[in-house]
Amino acid sequence: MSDTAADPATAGPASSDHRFQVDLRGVIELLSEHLYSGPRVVVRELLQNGVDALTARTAKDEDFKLSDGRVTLELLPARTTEDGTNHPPTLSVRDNGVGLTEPEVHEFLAKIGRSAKRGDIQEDTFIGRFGIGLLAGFLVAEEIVAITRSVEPDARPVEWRGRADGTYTVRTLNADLAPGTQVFLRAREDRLEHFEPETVRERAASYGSLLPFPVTFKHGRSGPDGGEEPLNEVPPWEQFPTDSPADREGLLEWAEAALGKKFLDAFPVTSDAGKVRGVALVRPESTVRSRTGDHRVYLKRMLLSEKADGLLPDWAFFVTCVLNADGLHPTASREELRDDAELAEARDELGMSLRRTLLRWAAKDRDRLHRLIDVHYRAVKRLAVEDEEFRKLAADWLPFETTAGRLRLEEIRKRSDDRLRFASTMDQFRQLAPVASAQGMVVVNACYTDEQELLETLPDVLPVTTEKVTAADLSEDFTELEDDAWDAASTLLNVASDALTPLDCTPDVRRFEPKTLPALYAIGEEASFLRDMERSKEQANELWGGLLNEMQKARPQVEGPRLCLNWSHPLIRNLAATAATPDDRGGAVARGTVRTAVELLYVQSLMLGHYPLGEAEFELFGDSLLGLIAAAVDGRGVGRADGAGKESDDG
Amino acid sequence: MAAAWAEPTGPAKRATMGDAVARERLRRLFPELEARPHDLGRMLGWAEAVRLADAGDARDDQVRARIGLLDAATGAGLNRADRVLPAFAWLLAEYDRDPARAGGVSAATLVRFYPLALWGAMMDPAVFRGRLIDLTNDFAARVKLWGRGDDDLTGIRLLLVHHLGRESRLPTADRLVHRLATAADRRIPQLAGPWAFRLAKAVPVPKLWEIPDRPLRASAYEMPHDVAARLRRAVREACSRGVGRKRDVANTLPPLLRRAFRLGPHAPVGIRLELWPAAAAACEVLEAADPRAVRLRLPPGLGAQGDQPADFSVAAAALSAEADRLAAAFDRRNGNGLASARLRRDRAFVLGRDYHW
Repeated sequence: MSDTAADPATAGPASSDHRFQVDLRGVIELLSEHLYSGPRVVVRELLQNGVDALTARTAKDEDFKLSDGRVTLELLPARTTEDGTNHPPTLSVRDNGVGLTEPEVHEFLAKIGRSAKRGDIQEDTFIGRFGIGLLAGFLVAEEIVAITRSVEPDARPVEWRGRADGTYTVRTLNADLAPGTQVFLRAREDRLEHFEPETVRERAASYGSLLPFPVTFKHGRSGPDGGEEPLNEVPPWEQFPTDSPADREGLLEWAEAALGKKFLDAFPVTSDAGKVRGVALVRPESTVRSRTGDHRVYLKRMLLSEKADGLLPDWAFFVTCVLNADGLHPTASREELRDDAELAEARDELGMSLRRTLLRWAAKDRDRLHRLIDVHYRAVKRLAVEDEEFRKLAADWLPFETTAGRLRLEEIRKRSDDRLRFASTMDQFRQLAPVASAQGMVVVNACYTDEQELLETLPDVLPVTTEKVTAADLSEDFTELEDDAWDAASTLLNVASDALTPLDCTPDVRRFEPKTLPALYAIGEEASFLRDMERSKEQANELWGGLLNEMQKARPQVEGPRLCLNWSHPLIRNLAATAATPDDRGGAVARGTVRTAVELLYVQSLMLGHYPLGEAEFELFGDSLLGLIAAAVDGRGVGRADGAGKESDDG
Repeated sequence: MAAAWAEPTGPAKRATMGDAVARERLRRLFPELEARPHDLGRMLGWAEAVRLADAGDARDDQVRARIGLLDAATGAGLNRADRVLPAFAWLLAEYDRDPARAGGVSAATLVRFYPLALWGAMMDPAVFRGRLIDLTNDFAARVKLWGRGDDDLTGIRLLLVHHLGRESRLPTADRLVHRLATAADRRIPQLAGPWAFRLAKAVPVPKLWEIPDRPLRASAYEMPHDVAARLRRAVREACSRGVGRKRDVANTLPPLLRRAFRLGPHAPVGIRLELWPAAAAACEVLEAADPRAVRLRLPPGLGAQGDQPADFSVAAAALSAEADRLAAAFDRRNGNGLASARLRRDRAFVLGRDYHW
């Protein structure tokens, strides 16, 4: 047996190791097209490298504090040299940070993915963590030049010149430079717009204005301080740290100037988790619940995003926040927060911070809470559902749509003696609204989940009862007829029963408000559902129709729809009188006319109740209308055939 | 039973004055419903849209409303078989009548919802055993006809075996869960229903919760099986701390029970079989703690008597009896004793093991 054949792992042709090749142009395209939102981020990446270089220097140089740091952006205008060469505009970013030695330059600037920020101090201390920041420069420049001098004793300055084709050169300089790094980006011909002074200044201010050391911008050679313009400003949470009236006013003015929008209210928020500090601005307009946030978030005081998401609980969609987080993490693009455990914890704590403020307002500053509720009642209701303490304090001020218009809960409680009735769907609410209104009954439209849930949890904290009602429930409470009226209505009921049985509807006669409504169609939720199922069964094939049949049989028997005729309405009493016409005086014809009228009342009450009309109902409507016209033309109109239908008000 | 395709039938439609009104309302309703988060309200809204669309009698609207209803009734853990099955049966018939003019119903839509509808049918003991087998065969025939692979069938066959299989040969719940977790079909965890939420983190499946292309924003308050799991956890925690912590018990259990009583009657029967034993255990804990300190109105039929304090022992007994009745109904339909066995196991482990079936 051959020795070499024993181990398959070593058998076969000789192997050799190779390194992956990186196409720098491809990587740059990847960055610009897929990772970053656009060339705007170049300024941010350069600033970020400066910040991290300063942070690294604080670890190496005990005497150096972050506030001793400085980052200067300078825009050198385009020029033409004496030999006629055109030099495009160049952006330089200079810091007095840790700098790099020549070996470090080879290691960190020329190896993609190797960040210089690992090693000496904890990784979380830095903003950048991926070693790709400098590459962003190639989004706008063909060549990047970095001149750097390490803070290490006796270190000599090094010049690194990298090109977009993936090549670079390094040389040691014989100059006496202070520790730090200066990066030069020479504009690409097709990217000149990113080198406009106002553009660079605006981006630098946007990303770096809150950094805890001087950030300056210089353009041209003249001006005070050599043309350097300071870009820093004090963060709003440091300018206006409390919820006092003065700070609130100041904060609102700041927000209007900084964000270009007037806000309804403002207050500070904090979270130990994620080391978050900032301000919450109450939006002036009502908003729908949405996961899309528009919070301005700074990470270690550098702008991360103006549209950050996931920082606040779902119910807090009424505020826009401006926050700085020292303990949260960015995604690789550095344009969003990473959705991790720290973010979840910070989100919970920020929610608690908002909640504490609202509870304080509920106890001591009700006007502010009222103003907020007036605009953002949906969000506040969500909080009330989730938080029993808040529910107890604020529920009475929450507004609800009711059959008596928009009312606060305290008013609804007064009008209904703490018996809160609600309709759970828009359909049900529309159907019962006219009847409930006429009877002076307040019914809440709780078609949104939060509202129903909120109403159902109110008995936990308030002395109220809640009940779900439908039009069918209301009709159960209509007044029964007295015996003599019942007798007078009996023939009408028989005729109506004949007319409505083919429509699976049962007639009833009661007295109810409003008196102007001759009939009410009432159907419970289950009966309504069964009608839906019936429509599906008619359409379905045998297999699925059989399945629906099996399901339907197992459901509890419920009362079907009812047409409730209103004895308080003169027309109904007229119809009853007409139906009672003796046969020898044309009773059969009269009852035919009454039947037609009942059919029309049925269709009309469906329409008044906003129930959809099907084909059968429309056919019935057309036929009945024609029948009634024919009867009128023949001179046997309702209530006029023999005078039996003379109107009376006593019933 | 193989799929049967019928010739286009039905009377010619004549326009009615209600059509325009219904369609106008739908034009406003559709975008509003599509923007709503997944919850019970969204589902009821789509059910209303179906009624309106039927009144308007425009095929496109009827199809759109029913697809919206299916999405809402299956999408957020509601698992409302009672809404899913009629809507799906209608869509399937619409497609069969004329696949080329089905108003937007596509084979892809049907393949997506058929297993969910079938799962809903399995969770209702009123549906006959033979019917479930016929429906599975019908689905298999359609999958073949539409040129789809066996992957579309895997999940539903597993669940069919799980419900109807012989006891002695059935895989244990854990083994089945493992198979579901490692299956290639990304819809299987959804089919598993109660398992889905436990599996959500374990299953390395992209876009698990994106139906069809947008993330669901479901409210946990609306998921009956989630409420059941939380009730079990709360009961265990209450017992592990000792029922003597009366205040905690009075604070934590009533909100969950309230949700259970609100969602339970509308939940699929199979989910009720999870919910009621958990609710019964919670009621027993409340009874043992201090029922007078509990602010909770029990629904009619569970020992509620006007304004009198709730009698939680009566409620627990009623809920347990209802669970027994449901388990027996499943066993009769399935031809095995699995549902009762699972119920016994649920009760035995309610204080010590979090178990979904």
